[in-house]
This record gives sequence, C-alpha cells and structure tokens, in this order.
Amino acid sequence: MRVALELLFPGDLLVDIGALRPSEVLSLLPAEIEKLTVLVAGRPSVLGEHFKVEYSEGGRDELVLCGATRRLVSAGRRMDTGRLRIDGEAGPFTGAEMSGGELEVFGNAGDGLGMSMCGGLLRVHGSAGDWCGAAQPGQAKGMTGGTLIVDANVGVETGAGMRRGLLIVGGDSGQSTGVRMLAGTIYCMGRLGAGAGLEMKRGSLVAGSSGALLPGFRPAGEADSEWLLITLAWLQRLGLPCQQAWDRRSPKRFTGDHLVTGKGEVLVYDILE
Amino acid sequence: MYIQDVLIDDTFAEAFPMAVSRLVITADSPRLALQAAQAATGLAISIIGCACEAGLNGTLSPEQTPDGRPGQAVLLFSYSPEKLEEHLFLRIGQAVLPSATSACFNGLEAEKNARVGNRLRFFGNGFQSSKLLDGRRYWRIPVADGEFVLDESYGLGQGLGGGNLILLGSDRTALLEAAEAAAAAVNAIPGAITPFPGGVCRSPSKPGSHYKNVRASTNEVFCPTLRSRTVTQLTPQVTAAYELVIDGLSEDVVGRAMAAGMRAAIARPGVVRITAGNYGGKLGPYHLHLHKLLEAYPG
Repeated sequence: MRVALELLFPGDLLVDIGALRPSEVLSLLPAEIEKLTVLVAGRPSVLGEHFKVEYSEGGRDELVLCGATRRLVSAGRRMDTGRLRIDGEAGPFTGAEMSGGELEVFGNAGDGLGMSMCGGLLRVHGSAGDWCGAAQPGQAKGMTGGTLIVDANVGVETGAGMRRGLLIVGGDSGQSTGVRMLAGTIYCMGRLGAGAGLEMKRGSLVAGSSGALLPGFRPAGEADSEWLLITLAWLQRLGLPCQQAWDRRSPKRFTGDHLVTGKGEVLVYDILE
Repeated sequence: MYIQDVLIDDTFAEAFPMAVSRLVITADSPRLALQAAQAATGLAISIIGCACEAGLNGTLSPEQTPDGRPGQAVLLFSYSPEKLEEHLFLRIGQAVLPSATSACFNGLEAEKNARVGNRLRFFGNGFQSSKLLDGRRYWRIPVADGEFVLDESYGLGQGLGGGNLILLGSDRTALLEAAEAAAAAVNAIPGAITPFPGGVCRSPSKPGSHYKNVRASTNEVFCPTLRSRTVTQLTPQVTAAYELVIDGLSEDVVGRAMAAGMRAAIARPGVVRITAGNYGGKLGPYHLHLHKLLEAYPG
C-alpha cells in the first residue's frame, strides 16, 4: 500500500510533520489521514487543508512526501518502523531521533538530518546541511545507532557527539566533522573538513583526503584495512559508489584526540599539504 | 550388490547429531589462509579423544569472503554446543589469531551462537575496539602486524557425525590410493569433511575395551594380522582396510558425500568390498544405507 502526501500551496511557511509516523499513517483510511494534525508556522492545522492525499493499494508499503517538500520540517522524526520516501528536497530535522525503518530522500536535505537518530536506515541521494547525525541542541550525544548515508556533501559538525552507528558521506564534509565523537564510524569519501575530530574520545573517522589534522592527532603508521574492506563491500552492495583505489590501499592512521583520551582514530588515504 | 566387481555390503552407517560451526578464515594470500586454517583444524581428528572433529571445507575466492581477501572455509564438529564453543575459543585464539595477516569470520547462520569474539577481545588488553555493521559486530584486536579482525558471534548449528565407509582391498598400496581418491570426492561435497589425516583412517575403532577406563579400542575384525586369532570381517583375499569418517552439515550432505566416496573408490583398482560401521542401530538416529545412497545419489 502506498500513501502519497503532496504539499499543495506555495509559500514560505514551514510545515512541521514530526507527529506523522509512516506506519501509523499507512494504517489509516484517506479520510482519517486528512484529519491528522500538522503544525503550520507553529500552529496546529488539519493536514487535509495543506496536503493532497493519494492512496493506492498494492506495491511496496510506503509513505511518500512530494510537492514543496523543502518546507517540511521533521519528516520522519522518531519514526520506528515502515518506510518513508521524500520525492524532492527535505527540510530541516528530517529523520531526527528515528529509531527504525527506512527513510529515503531523492534530493538534498536540510540541517539536522538524522540528528540523534538511534536506528534504521536514512539515505539522502544528494547533499545535506549542517549538524547531520549530530547531537540535538543542549545534548551531548549525537547518533547512537543506525546508518545514515548522504551520497554527496555535508555541512559543518557532521556526526558531532556521535555515540554509535555508521555515517557515510559520499562527497566532502564541512568543518569540525566528528567533533566530540564518543564512538561510531564516519566515512567521508571525499575531503574531510578542517578541525575534524576535535575532542573525539573514541570512534573512527575515515576520509579520502584531508588537510593537516589538529595537533591532538598523532601518526600511528598505516591502518590494517580488513574492517574497512568489509564496510566497503557492504557499501557497494547498497549501490554507493566507493573510490576503487580504497580497495587496494591502506590509509594512514592517526590516533587522537590526545587532548582527551586519544582512543579515537582518523584514517586518511591522502594527506593534502 | 556388486558394482564393477566390488561388493557393496547391504548395511548402513550409523550417524548421530553433532554441534557444528563454520569458520571463514582469510589472509593476504591463499597460502597464508590455508596455513591458518590447517592450524585451526589441528588435532581435531576424532570425537573420542579430541572432543572435536574438524576439516577444511573449501577454498574461497576474494568475492566469497567478507573482507575481499582469499580464504578457507573450515567446519568444526563437537558433541555439544558448549564443547564446540570451548574449541572455537581455543582454536581461533591459539591458531588463527597468531597466524600472519589472518582474520576469522562466522560462516554459519544459526539460531544459537557462541560469543567467541566477545571473549577473545580481552587479548586486546583495553586497546581492542569493535565495529557494528549491518547488525553484525566485529572485533579488532591490535597485533604486531596490524589488527586481528573477528566476528563477535559464531553460529552453532546442528550437523551430522558418524558417516563412514570402510574400504577393503587386496593390495594395500592400491587400496590407499582408492581411499585417498574417495576422501577427495567426499571433501569436494560442500558441507562435508573427512577429519582424519588425509581423510583416511587406518584404525577403525569400536566402543569399549578389554581394559578398564579405555573408551575405545582397535576394531579387531578389520585387522589383517589378527584374522587367525579373532572373528574377522576379512576374506582371504583382503590384505588391508581403510575407513573414511564423514561429518557434514546435514543428513543429505553426508549421504551425498558417502555416495561420492563409494563411486570414487569403485573407479579405482584395489577395492574388493565396501562396508560401513554401525552399532546395530542403537546409537544414532540416522541410518545411511549404502545401497539406498547409491540409488538416491546417482553419479
């Protein structure tokens, strides 16, 4: 069964749909879906006044968001099961706090993508904004589980405070990637932004290239790459293009941040002077 | 039943359930992977004295292994999941971990698991770390040539032990060649192993002994030097007998392997008769009848 919600009216008002769970929406009839509440510019409003609801039997069970999706805030927030698909650009806080299910965005995503997510698979076929997979404001822990994949670039403080999980960036990352990381793994296939891993306690940052790392990181030879190969094989099965050269090379390994525990690691294939 | 002048006895091998695990051992080269796998299967000949039977279960190409390196599959059997877990811990820790460039992965999905990696990680002395990927946790233990990567959990399935063939021949050299050919045919069946050296056992045993506290002893009915002193299975023309012990992942696998072993032996000179060992049907629930196997699994 497929339910499509098309945001109809043009404008700049943000529509918060954080209360909609894909599995719950799919269990309702179209008339019931239209009576659900969303927040338009912070005020409660009836969903049917803003969205066109299309309901079709058969096929894959999924909730589809389309139309002016860039204005949708918190799509898939706290989703725990089911599948949500966004045909277009996703607004801020998409997939925040999600704990299960599958969320796929066919476009770019805004800030706060997958913030504090703890499970499930979130994939963006485009770029994402700042604080991707990071901790929510006022909290120490970012992602605590799940897999977040961004095919292109991400903004600043990606994976900040990450505790567990896997965050994969197909392109470049902004400044301060993995800052205050507690554990988990971040892959950046392109270039790692400046200031990466500041105050990271544990965890792994893997990058195609990077400028000079922070002084808190010390060279530790070359990394044994078996677990990287396992991950790359899995990424290829997901259809994410991996740099072929990664298959045949061992990255340089740095441990840090020695300002804190020094138990984290940054693995870089090419250090750019 | 005669096939090409070889008598196939109307009898059966008596098999019983055993706990089984499958390891995928990888390394930088096929030689190193084989070396580590051979070490992992050392002294795992017979359940009677070793509490574990193990064997190589095929060479794996880089496409067939989790880390994309050359590998070897290994099957290990024991009489209980608890005992098998103990052997997995010892064999991965003492044989695979020290082998140059090696890594060790679970190769069997099963409901029950042994958390061997979760115990072995302590060798890392606090420097170990783990990675969770697609619901599967891997441990990374720092060692002197890099890191030893292993799965946290290894599947403990139920397999089958006690499949066997006893080949009797008129010429020892020719019989041994036939037995080795049969062992090669058995090992070519996916999921089947022959744990004895070279796949061939020259000491078929029986339970119990003339002596107290000895659990198993030589099976005199197959010993040519005793034919004048005991009841014997050997006709005058028979000068030697070799046994193939076969363990497998299922009854179908063991049956298929026994049939393949028989056909390979028949195709060689030197074999005059093929029989199988059993305990009168009282020990194991699986009865693998030689005639039925040859019908069920045509060459």
